[in-house]
Amino acid sequence: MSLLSLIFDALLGLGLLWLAWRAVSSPGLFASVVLFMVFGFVMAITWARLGAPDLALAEAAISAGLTGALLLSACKAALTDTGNDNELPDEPSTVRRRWPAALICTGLGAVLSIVMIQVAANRAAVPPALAEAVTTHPLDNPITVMLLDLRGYDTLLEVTVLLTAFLGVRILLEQTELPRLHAPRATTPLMVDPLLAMATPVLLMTALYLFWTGMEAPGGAFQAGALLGALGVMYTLTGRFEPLDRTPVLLRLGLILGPGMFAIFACLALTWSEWPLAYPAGATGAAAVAIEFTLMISIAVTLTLLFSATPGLHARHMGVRHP
Amino acid sequence: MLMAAVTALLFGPLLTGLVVYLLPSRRLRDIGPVVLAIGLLGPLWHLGTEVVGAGPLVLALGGHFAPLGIELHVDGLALAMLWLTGIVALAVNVYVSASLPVDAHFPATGFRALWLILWSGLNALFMAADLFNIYVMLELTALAAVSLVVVSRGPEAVSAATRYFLFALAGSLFYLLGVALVYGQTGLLSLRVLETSSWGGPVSLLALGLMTGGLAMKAALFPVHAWLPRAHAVAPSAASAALSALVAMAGAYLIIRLWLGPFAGHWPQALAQGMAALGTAGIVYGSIQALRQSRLKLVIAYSTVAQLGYLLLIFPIASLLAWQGVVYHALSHGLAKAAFFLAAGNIIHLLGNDRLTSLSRRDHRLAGSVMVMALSGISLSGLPPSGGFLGKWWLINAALESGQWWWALAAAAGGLLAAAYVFRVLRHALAEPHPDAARDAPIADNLPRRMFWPPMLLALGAVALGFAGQLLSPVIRIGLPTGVGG
Amino acid sequence: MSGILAFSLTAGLLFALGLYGMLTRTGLIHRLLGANIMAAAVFLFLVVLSTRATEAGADPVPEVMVLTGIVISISLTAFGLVLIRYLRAMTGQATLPRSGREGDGHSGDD
Repeated sequence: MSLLSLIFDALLGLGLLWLAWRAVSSPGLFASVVLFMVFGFVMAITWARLGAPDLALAEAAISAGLTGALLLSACKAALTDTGNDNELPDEPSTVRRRWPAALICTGLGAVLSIVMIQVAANRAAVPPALAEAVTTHPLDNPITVMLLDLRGYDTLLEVTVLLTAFLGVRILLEQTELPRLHAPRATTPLMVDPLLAMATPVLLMTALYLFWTGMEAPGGAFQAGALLGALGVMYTLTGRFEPLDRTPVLLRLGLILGPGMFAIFACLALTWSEWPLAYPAGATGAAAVAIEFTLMISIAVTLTLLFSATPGLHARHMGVRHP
Repeated sequence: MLMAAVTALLFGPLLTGLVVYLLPSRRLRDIGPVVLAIGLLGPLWHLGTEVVGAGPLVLALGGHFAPLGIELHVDGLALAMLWLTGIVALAVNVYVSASLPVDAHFPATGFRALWLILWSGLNALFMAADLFNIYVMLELTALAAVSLVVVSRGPEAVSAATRYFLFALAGSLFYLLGVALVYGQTGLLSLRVLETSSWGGPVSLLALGLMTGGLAMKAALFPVHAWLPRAHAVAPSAASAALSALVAMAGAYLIIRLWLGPFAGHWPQALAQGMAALGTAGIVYGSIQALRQSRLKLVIAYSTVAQLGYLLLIFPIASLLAWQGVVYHALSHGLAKAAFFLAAGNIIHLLGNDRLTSLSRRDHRLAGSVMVMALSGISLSGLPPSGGFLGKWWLINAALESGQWWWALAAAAGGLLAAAYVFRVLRHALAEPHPDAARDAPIADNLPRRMFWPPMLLALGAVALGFAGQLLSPVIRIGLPTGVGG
Repeated sequence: MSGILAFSLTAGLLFALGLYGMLTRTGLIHRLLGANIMAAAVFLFLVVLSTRATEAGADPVPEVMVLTGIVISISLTAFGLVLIRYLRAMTGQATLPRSGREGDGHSGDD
């Protein structure tokens, strides 16, 4: 049994290394992107194997899934803009740089792996104070306790990073007009309508379930927001959301709702406590649910808009087909 | 009250940014940030009296102290940087209200929103005391900063921003790996707890190396500076001022925090000499490049590469006097550099370009901006009685006291080189009109007062810092890190 | 568990591989892939750190660092891809010109 698991671990590790090597070294853009997506899924399997299923879920949904969709979209953009999906061959100057770079990276890789094995072999237990704080907390799931309370400040800044990425993209969109990537088609392929009709309620239900269960079990605003974002991506891809050249006020509200409400909560905390970002005694659960809900909305809206790379989207009225 | 002051500094700019983005009213986006900047001087004053009166502060967000939650620290150094941020932000806000295009298209709103987010991020970064929190903050500030570069349109801006983006991306990953190693070895993220716990060895050196490398990419320290000159030169001048005076400096600030705080005593003296040697190389390289540029904003941007090199001279000396000198240098560089960039923005506003040869127009409208450049140049090259002089004076004395005369030589030589590139700019301004300069007519008739006074007052402030040494040096010494010897 | 050692080793090597991609490729999307592999390597190491303390359950601190890191990483990737697309559209290049050779374009337009 232990031999089998050793072989399995070794195969996973070697597979990751091989996929990463191919992804950074293969000349074609599309091939690299596909290899990277497979890399993401093998990484998710590895995390599940290491005993972190909720992280594996997030990695598969966000890192492999949504990043993959973004990268495929970038391949399509390369094709639309230049008619060629291969990036240019590497310049001679960087080919000459390969040997020194290989030398540096080999050295770094060797030092890093030796030190990291040593560090990981320290059998540090969870500090007792932390374990106690997490178990006595009104929220049940340790990850949620960390994300929303103990390290809630990081979470607030992280959704601000997401918003900032959109604002940055929005600045870029002012530069020049580029061909649209996800233009609605004149005819919809046969299977799209029934598939979407099936996927929409399933994804909505799963997202709400993940959101609700996040209070006690693995899941939460991020996984739920990512799923809703994936739904938005599907609607964008199939032309059900049409691009706009501005961001309507409702979408702007959706974008800033999460960081805005979290920041207002952080300030309001001074009225019921000595510290910013502290939860009101007795109402921790309710406050956490409210914050998580606004975070979920903002994450979903921002991810959808980031994927579409347009200032805004609106739902196309499905009764009317533009030829 | 104290908590309210800190909360206002952390979330005030962020929330204002969100409101400005939500409600696109021209009046709001022009006046709101200025009112906020003036209003935040109150919390800064309150925080200052508290720190001066009661010593360094430790604040726990959500009421959770380390190692459970995230703490913020305000000591003399952080207080100085917060004040610098507040003053530069005030100047930038007033300047921007007159300098950005008045039509209602997105960049005018987007610029405000991104800049306000960046401002919040800088306030938070200077108070940060948690390794992972610093990582999140670094990503936030870098993303906002890169986007601000793109506000200037055109291929130059996009290509400079791309280079900046790649360096920032790689830098934060190096930093994050270092954080992971520290956590793996100690189970700690808090700078305060790490500073008092006994650990060290090869793991700590590797982690320090990775984090220093990553932060050096953010601060554009030599030899990983390649992105800075183009990015800071092409950005809108108000953004350039904040990027050079605050964002790039924040990277160097964090290196100093780490080396002298939680990692104090972990590194051999040879490594400190190496860091200072890199700093000196940056001073020489940046200054020589600044001497070779034909565009004003590139001269100023290369000067940033040079000036940030000084901050690394603290490590081999690490005495109280050197600490004072380096902090004072960072402060006066921040004021002078912001003034310099805003003055360059005024020249672009009047002439439509920033070629050095265009400065020789003998146009009375340029005179004010030339004077600003002269005043900030005095501080940059360390001439008395400016703040830059006092910083260098303390640094040179500290180097001599510790018997390391070669670093005193480096600091003095850097001052001479800075004087050379500043006088080269001024010589163009005072020279006979260049044939090229007469060719293109000025594009603006006058300079709004809201664009003239911010750089002028900043430059005067950089000079006036030279007289405030007695007053400010006790403040800078509040809550010295363990790595600074008496 | 054997996995801890095997995957620490993998994480170290993956970081170096991603860096190699970032240093040697000129194609910018390839460089971004390299950065994503570096990020994945750090996250893998953090997951290893969180699961090594299995007696008292997983350590939630590294887990939260990974969750935060993943969201930040996708934000940067999304922004970077749009940036690269505009660079290509505006300069006709999917690569960066070497520093110091970016022409004598105007600097700053307030």
